[in-house]
Amino acid sequence: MAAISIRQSKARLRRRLMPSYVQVSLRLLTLLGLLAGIAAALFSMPLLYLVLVIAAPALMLRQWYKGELFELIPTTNLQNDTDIFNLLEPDLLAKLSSQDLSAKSLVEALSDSPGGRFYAVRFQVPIGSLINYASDVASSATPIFQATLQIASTGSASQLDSAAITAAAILATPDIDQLLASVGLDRKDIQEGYLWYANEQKTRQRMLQKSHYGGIGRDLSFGYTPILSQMGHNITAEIEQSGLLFRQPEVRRDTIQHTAHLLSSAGRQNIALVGETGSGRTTVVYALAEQLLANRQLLSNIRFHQIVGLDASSLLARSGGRGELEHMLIQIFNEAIRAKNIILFLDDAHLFLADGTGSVNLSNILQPILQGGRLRLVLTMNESWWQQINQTNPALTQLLNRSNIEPLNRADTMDVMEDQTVTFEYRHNVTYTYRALIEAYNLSERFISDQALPGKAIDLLEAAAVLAEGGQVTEQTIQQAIEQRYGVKVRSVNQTGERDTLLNLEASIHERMINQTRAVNRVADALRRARAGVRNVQRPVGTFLFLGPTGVGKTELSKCLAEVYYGGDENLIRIDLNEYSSANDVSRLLESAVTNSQSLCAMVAKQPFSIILLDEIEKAHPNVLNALLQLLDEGILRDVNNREINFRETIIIATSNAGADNIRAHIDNGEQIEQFEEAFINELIESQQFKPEFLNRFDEIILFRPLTKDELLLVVDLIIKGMNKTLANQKLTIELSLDAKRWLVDQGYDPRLGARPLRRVVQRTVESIVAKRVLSGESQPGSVLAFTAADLAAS
Amino acid sequence: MLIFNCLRWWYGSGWSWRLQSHRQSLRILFEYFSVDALLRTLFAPYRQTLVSDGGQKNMSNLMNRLLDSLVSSGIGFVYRTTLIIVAGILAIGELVLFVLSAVLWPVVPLVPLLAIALYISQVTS
Repeated sequence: MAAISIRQSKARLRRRLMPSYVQVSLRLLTLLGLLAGIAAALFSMPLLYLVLVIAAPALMLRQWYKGELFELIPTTNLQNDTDIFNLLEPDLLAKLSSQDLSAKSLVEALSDSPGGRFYAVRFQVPIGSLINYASDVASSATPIFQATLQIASTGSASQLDSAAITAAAILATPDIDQLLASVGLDRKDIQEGYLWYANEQKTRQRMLQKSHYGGIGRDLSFGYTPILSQMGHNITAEIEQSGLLFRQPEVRRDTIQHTAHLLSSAGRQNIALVGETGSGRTTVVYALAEQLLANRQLLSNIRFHQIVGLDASSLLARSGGRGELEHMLIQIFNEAIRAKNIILFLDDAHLFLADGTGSVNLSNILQPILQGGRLRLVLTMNESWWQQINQTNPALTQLLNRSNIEPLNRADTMDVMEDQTVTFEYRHNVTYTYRALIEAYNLSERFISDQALPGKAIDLLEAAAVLAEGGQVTEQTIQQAIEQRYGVKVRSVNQTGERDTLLNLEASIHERMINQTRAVNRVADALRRARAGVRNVQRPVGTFLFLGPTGVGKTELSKCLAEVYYGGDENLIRIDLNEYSSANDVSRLLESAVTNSQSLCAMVAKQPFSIILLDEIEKAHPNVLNALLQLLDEGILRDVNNREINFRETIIIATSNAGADNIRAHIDNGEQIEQFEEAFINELIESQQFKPEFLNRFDEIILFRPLTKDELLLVVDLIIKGMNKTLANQKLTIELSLDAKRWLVDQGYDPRLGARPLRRVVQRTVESIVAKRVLSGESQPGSVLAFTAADLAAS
Repeated sequence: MLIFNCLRWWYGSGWSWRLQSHRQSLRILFEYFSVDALLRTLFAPYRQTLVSDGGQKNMSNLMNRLLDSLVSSGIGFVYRTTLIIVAGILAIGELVLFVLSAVLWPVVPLVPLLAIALYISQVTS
């Protein structure tokens, strides 16, 4: 066995001294020695001097532990030294047996290290499980150590920690790519995991450290703010109490610096942070509050200034009326000006600058204050409100310094999420896996359109915390959270048990509608492709144009699909395009939920996992059809606020009666649909009913053929089945004889209107007779109501 | 070997670590009392408690404000000076500890030998 190094000896001694009982014993011995020394000198008790023989080394050991052993900082750095034993973190160094270390011994030591546990929990790759793959030949750990140096160089650590070595050990395992793929990871993820670990360590250190943000004389030269303290929310005080636990991405650091510069310079000392909800506007303000306390480089005229937030709704609730509110705000503003250290923060500033529910327009008060430039002010709002205020009161927006807060990119969002998990894990007593973070990013980007990144991903992470099973938030937990919140389906079919539903989709639909086999097959195929994960996710799930006469099942198929697959018609968004026949109607389709909750954009933003039924598309104005082109092509529409609405999880079904007479004529001539389909579509283009670029956007154009009388008999069965379902509560059953069904078909058959009149005839005859019998007491619970053609004819 | 390493640290970087920690305590002490801020704002009004001129600029108001400012600044001066004196006293205490540490630190490793010597001398006398 090779000799152990001095540093390793120190690491081992450190491990022995680390337990708290050892530390307490050393302290007690030191105290005892001091007392014994004094007593020996004062009372001439020489035996007590001998206590000092033990007490002095105890004091020395404790001082040595505190001063050197506790941190055991490497004497060299990663760039200058490649001897791993000079650079290893002390915990791991103490555990390793010798310098001729085998990979197996190293993996064993790692399995109980913080880095090993990190990879087991976050990446679900327990390093201990790789022990069988590791070599037990002496010095076989050397290549792992060399790889560790490379991984550690990506971070800013001064020593090699167990996470860097664990990452290297995982990556050195034979056939690791396959193993990682089985948990949805690759090599790059393992390497990036090291940076997460390093940042997590720093965050935990920040949590433990007590920050000094100035002392008791700090605020003596600033004024009292009694009303503001009562009405506002002191963000600076909050930061002083709990600190700021997350990092700021590079792009945000520039914004914070710019904001600090504006607030400290002469002139308009205000800033409007304009960005979408979730983009991190408020976080910028919190980070600024922290900088004002902690950053010594900051301009001295705003150092230690307090950021105090005002909440419009709470101010409204506390004041008796508009006059009282205005008076109170003037007092608050005066206090803030006199105090000389207040920066007012108006979050969602439109609540203070525009009229509406829960808001109050105070621009007439704010404008002269902003003009005077005596009050430091930070406002946040989104782009549409900025534009709206700019339109109604351009003088006000001209007084404000605008700064855009753009949504974060993937890398920055991942960093923010990694920092945030520390808080969520503490709050909800859970742990997050790396895949959960990636899934939160992907799914929030895909499904949540009313917020920006990183806010929407963070919201999803927190929502998943309450669904965690076994205390761990995994990829599946995130999927479950988004399914619950938005009614979408993202989990694999095996997890949700819907495999059978998907495989038997056609049969289930045919239980509710007759024939139109081709149309049913096409729609079912699209749905199966989507749920098997083999579709193009940059387009809608499926886009179909159903052509055919009225009453043949075009609309019915959409309803059946909603019923069978989505479990009800809540996910069916139906737009009658005959109501969109003028050029101005385009804007009605694109209205946001604020102005029209029933617009196409508003409904899809609320429920992105839907079937969209665009009925009677031929009656829509050409401008409306042009607006739909991008929707059909890319699955994206922009609403009137220029917000992107995601249609990529929808099935779009457009129906049209265009050319219905032609279809009927072809069928009457005995032709099959396949024989005249192509010519029929060409006719539609030539007759300029649809433009070719519009028809080309659909995945499938499906022709529906008129129903025959025999098929209508089956439709009668379906209608009666539906009625029996309704009557099941009263324990009544309807039965029709064959001649009764034929009579109904004869009465309800209209070649132009398909099956539609049939329902009305059944209603007029069968339902009316049943109603009379129930009311007269002729039909008792449990009885079967049988009808013949004569019964129906007599009704 | 470990004893040698401990002694090497004790008379090397350990000694300066001990003195550094006293320096750190002094820094925290001055930060806690915000001595720099107190000195900078020694004559500033205490908590900005100045009466408003009510928008009227006349001699009487001006005199009132001047008087008010003098009183407020006087209170501020006394309060800040008291805090600076308290901080100063504590800093002197810390400096005494610093000197004691500097003197006693090198003696600690010799304490066991001294204790044995004292024991023997007292027992034999």
